[in-house]
Amino acid sequence: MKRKWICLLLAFFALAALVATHTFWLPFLAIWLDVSEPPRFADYAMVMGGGIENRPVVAAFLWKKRWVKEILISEIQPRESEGRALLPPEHELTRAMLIRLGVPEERIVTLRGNHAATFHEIESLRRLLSENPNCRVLIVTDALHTRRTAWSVRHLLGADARRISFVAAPSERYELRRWWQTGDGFFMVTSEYLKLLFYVLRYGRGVLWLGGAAAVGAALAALFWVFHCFAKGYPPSGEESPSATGA
Amino acid sequence: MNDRNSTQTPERAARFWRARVFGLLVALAACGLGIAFRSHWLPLLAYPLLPPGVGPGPDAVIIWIRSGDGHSFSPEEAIEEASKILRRNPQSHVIFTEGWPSRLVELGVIPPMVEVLRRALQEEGLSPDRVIKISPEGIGLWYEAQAIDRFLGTQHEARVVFFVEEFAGRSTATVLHAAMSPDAYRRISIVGIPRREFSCDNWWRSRAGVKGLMVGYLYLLYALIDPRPTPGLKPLPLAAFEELIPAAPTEIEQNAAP
Repeated sequence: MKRKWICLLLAFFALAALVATHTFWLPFLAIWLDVSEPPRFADYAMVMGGGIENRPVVAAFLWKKRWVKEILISEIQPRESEGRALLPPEHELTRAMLIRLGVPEERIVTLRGNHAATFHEIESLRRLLSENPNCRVLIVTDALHTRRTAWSVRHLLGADARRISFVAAPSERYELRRWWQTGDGFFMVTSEYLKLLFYVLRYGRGVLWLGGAAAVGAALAALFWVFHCFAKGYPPSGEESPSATGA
Repeated sequence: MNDRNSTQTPERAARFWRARVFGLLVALAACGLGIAFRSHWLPLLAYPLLPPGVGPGPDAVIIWIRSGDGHSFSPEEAIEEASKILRRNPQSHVIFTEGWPSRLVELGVIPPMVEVLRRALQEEGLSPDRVIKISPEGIGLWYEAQAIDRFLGTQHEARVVFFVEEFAGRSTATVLHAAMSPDAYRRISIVGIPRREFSCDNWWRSRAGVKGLMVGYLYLLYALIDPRPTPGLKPLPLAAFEELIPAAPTEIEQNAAP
């Protein structure tokens, strides 16, 4: 009983310490997600879907400042709609935005397909890289999205992942080092961790690792249980032995 | 005493094993039943996200539609629902608010969303004059709710129906409750519109549905922790993006020139 109280007290103090020091450790949760680098020369800047406000702007300036020769955009299928769509699909808006920012139309390449997720966009990029063995690509996306994108790149491209680097598009909706202070920052960081977990389980070897860990855990628990039963004097088999029955 | 314990041990061991095997079977049966009847209990996971209360009463004359990001409606289906009310009730009108201003509008790629809304209603045979744009003092639902609160002060006892995405119902209600006066909040009916891809009755069947549930819970969690907005947020000017990208080194520039 006394040990239980000590454990509860320790847990309380640990929690209090975490809360008191949150401004020191919370920024690292966001910083870990950001694997972006300064720009380097490449053939293409690829604008990842889902960030139409900022990502195309960064890609346009990468082109204008001659870091890249062309810009890649991925086709995004519009949402299911019974009636007429109010606005064109995202890739068409991105293309129009790039043109408005001064990128010539012939410098914009569209990756065709139904890209509903980051993983699908990287699959299309893999096809492009296999057709152009020497090309290099800068992927433009939000800083917090770079870790998951990099994971997809490593998973799908293998050794070709060296041909890819990441440039972060800034966001006005949150600060990386104070992400928990705005709704969008909180949403971005927490959802990225959840999505990363989903990616590892769905596309990676997460299920295998999880299954292995569960099997080892179960085996250890079973061993512990059997040992515990013997120590308490219950033969786990339940069979009578001469000494146990006193015969 | 020792002999009695010894004779009881085999029985206790057998009972011990029987109890554990029975427990395991019960757990397996519970898992099987859970999987078999998932369509009965999985909707319960989405219920906490749904808006509180009932749908719009027949006396609702003001329809609130918003665009959180300046380039889409949240949700797009709100326009169809608004059209139905506008046709039914000639006295009713739409109030429109916007959260973040869109760079797409700034660059002239798309018209302002209020114009898109007016055009959509016009195509339905409804007058575009029935849309009133209300400008909030800051960025975010909190400021929009306060602007609506002030507007409702001039509309005596008018009832409002606010169309939101189904899984954003509870988080929206939480923000509105914190931002508005009790009288204004009482006059608003929040109506969650399910998406065509998923609803609370089938969200687990699609990737979009699972993502929608996750997003709904994250926003609800934040709305419960702190429904107030962060002051001082403002859009980045294009010049800030230009400053962010350094100039390419000149010696290699010629090789990389487009």
